[in-house]
Amino acid sequence: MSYLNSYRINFWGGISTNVCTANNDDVNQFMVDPVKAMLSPLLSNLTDEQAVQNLKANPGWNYYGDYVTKFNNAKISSFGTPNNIQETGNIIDQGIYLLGSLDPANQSKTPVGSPIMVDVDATGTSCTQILVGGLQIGGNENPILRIHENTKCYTRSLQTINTATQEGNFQAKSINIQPPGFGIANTCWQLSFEYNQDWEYDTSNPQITALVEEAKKAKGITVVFTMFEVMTIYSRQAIISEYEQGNAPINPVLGYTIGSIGIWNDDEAATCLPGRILKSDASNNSNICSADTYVQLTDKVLSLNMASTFIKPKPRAKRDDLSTMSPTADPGNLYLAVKNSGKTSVICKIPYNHTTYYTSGGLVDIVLNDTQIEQFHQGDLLLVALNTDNSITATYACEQTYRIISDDRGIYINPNETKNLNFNITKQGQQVTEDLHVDIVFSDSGQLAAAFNQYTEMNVGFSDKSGNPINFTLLDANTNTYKGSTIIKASEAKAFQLNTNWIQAGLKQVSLTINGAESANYYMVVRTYPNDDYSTLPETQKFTWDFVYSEVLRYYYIVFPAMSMRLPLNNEVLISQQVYQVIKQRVSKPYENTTLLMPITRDMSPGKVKLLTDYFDYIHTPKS
Amino acid sequence: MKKLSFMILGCAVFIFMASKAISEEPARYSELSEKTSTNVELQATFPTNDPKTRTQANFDNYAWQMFVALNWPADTSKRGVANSSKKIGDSGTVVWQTFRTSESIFLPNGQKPAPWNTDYTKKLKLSTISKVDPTIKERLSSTAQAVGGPLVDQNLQYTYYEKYMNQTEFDFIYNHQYYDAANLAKLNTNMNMDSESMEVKSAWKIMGNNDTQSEFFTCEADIENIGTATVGLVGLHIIYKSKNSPQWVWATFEHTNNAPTVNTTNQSKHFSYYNPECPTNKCPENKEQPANSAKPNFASQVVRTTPIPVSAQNTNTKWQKLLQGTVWKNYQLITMQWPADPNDPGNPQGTPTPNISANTTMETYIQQNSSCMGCHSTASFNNIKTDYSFLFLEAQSSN
Repeated sequence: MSYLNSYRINFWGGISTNVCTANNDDVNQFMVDPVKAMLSPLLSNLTDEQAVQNLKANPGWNYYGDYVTKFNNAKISSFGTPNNIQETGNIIDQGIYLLGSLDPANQSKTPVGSPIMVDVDATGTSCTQILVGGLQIGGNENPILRIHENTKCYTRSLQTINTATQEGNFQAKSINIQPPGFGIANTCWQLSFEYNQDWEYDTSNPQITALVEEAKKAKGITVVFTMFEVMTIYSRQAIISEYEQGNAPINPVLGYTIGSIGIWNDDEAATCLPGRILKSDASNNSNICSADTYVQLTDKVLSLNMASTFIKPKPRAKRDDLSTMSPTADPGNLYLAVKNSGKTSVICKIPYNHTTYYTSGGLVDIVLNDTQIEQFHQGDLLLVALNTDNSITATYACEQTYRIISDDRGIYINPNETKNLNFNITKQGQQVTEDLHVDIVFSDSGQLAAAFNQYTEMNVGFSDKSGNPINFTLLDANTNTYKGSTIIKASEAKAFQLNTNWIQAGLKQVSLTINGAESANYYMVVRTYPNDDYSTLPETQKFTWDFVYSEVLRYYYIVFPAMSMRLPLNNEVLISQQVYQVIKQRVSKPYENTTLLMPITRDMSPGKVKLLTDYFDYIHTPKS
Repeated sequence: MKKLSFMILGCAVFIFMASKAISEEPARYSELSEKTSTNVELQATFPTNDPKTRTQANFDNYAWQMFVALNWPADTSKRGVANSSKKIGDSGTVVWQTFRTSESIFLPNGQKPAPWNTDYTKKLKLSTISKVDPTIKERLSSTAQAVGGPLVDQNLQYTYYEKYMNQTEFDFIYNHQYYDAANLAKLNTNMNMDSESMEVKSAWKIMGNNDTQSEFFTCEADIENIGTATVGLVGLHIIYKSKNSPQWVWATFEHTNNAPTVNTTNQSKHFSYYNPECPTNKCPENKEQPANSAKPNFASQVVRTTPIPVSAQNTNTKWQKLLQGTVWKNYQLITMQWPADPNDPGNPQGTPTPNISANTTMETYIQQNSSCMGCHSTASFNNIKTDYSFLFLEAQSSN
């Protein structure tokens, strides 16, 4: 069972994210050190004003971003159980909202901020995360479901569309208006809320009641959604022109989302989509594939998440108009097939409707007979188009035989800390029956991490479940790529565990590959914080505004101006005398898993947090 | 598990509020239709509804409608009420000047302030330190900006600030006894002021020999250590919590002769806060003044770092033309910051638009990162949000 096979509420609409890009490595010419959260020597010797001007000359596509990420006019479009989806009812057209966190310091039940998208690795090259404080269906005047729980989700199924093979319209548009680095990507996300007594819902609403009643029997609910066809408000040229004129507009990306709310079961990951995964085959001559398809069979009902399977070739005419959705490419006669001992056989026709697919969350349900069910388990699945003579005309997607399912994707490790990472490895959706060879490869995440020599060595170590270190060898000195291996026994694959420990500061991308597959089966991003230790410095040096500003706050003042729109971080009187208690609170542990943590970028080391709070305590402690 | 019953409660509150507005305050405010939100007419009635069509141009126009209504000559016996028998530009105290100042509400030891309409004095009192309590932090004084030090004009005189609130906000504070910090300290949920609450912050300079007094809106003020002087209005913030904008709307106006925009060539005219003859090495731009100085050290050399948006410039032209013959033609809208997304539960800060908003007389030193809504969203008292208002920092305790 999973959300694919249970009661669901589907939605579609817009989504936006207003990330700040001044630390992105494709634009800032190595002006900042994202590992230490410090200005590089190129900027650190300049005045604040000079440093800002240098950075603003090429700050990426959104210098003033504040990380707010939200659904834009996304609404419920259908609901029901598999094969019984309805498009009329009380809940249809109700808005759906991801919420920011409640403030742990008071008892208010109203969030004061929004969900935020924050890169673990500063570059966001391969994985980013969205932190969320809750979920609401219906507006503030008449909510029908409201949940306040801190949770997060990670980029899954990231797929960058090959513009060279797309229709001219999309290609031309993408070159001119797409933000560099964000691109014409398609991503899928899943976040989950564990049921508790504090959930508020309208018991007179049958759809919400049905969902909550199911959630009570399980662990909670999960929200799965895509983000695609993202475009900035301003083109790259336009935003630079605005900056040159002294203006400071935000430039969020806007895109579409298609999603579903369903049941989250006890044995399922919170952030990783369930089922078997079929990887789109963009290298094939089909040219219409986008991202992954998820497939799950429960009893006799086969359910597929096809929200990202095919490209949507014609982008919207207006960048900020998300009110309509044009069709995806038409895949023709679409079938699910299985490949067994070199032979491909068709299982069933897939009733995918390329013009209305988004109203049902991109989900498709099919009842299988006993023969088809048997076929389903016989080998790797394929998504194919058939000719009238039943010959395969195109293969759109192929199953990734082994899947690694895990919630460990964006990993933060404090100095001298060891973390347990947990994985569930499946083969064709089933428990594995043979021992597995797992390669672990890690390398610098983005150019910036590589730009600073002190980070060229391994920054984390790995050990197996028993604590035995895994040996790594240098594969490529240019990319600081290291590789190690371990053997997983079949009996342990369902709860495979690794330990990773801090060695030095760094940003690494880590991939796991099973049995030498061509591409990684799973990847993570690991941020190991610097071991900033100011304990040996005299108080007269470290507890001064100039030192604290230079070591801790200046980076955020220069690189992330949205923070100073709330609290001007360069103002000694304000920060040290007037709002220091607020800052002390916002950098503290209770805020760690909220959307309200300061800094929002989550890159301040524990040592710097300590320096900042100790400084506040020192200057506000009466001296004898 | 909790059951929701917001719909019924919401309707009840709405009906109550609507009936209150109709029965108790028939003359003070007017309801604006979409048609009137784009009107360019001199009206004494305050526009309570912000534009249904949420565009920058409409909000800029809305800012001017508020500005005109608030600068209408005031009724001589009732606070916050326009004298409809007069027209804008006629002599006398204007409506916002009859609002209650913050120091008339936040009294020593959290004392109960006088009711709304009492203590109706017209003389402005300005000081270089807080009139509430000299020991209160320096930022609350009459010469300190919210962030940064004081501002000094070309006559080497400080600029003075005063904060006011309208009756809706006064009533909220008065009825909840939030004038007493001891009561604020009991709050455990964020504050939610009533719709139609309003605050006004004014910036004044002392009229000097080289100032053309007739170009300013002026009044007589008692100034600490100086005595009675004529002061001219150089800046005006208007923040208003409309029904459709729980994040409030934020209009800021300035006198047209305050300061030039950075890198502009036409700098020949006389500015209150800029000397075109002084080179940058002698008069560094936007340099903070030392705080706690008995006398100003140097004249501020102020430049506007973010140009006035084209939309505001166009709106200014229309209204200034309409205000020919009055002193108000010499004032200009700098920005109207408004929430583009006011009612999205996932976006409680509402997407402040435009992103940057700064008045050169009130946010002189933080212009490049100044956002009214961004900054005021942090306003709190003992970690409880105070609905975008920093005025509660002035509250003293009865304990």
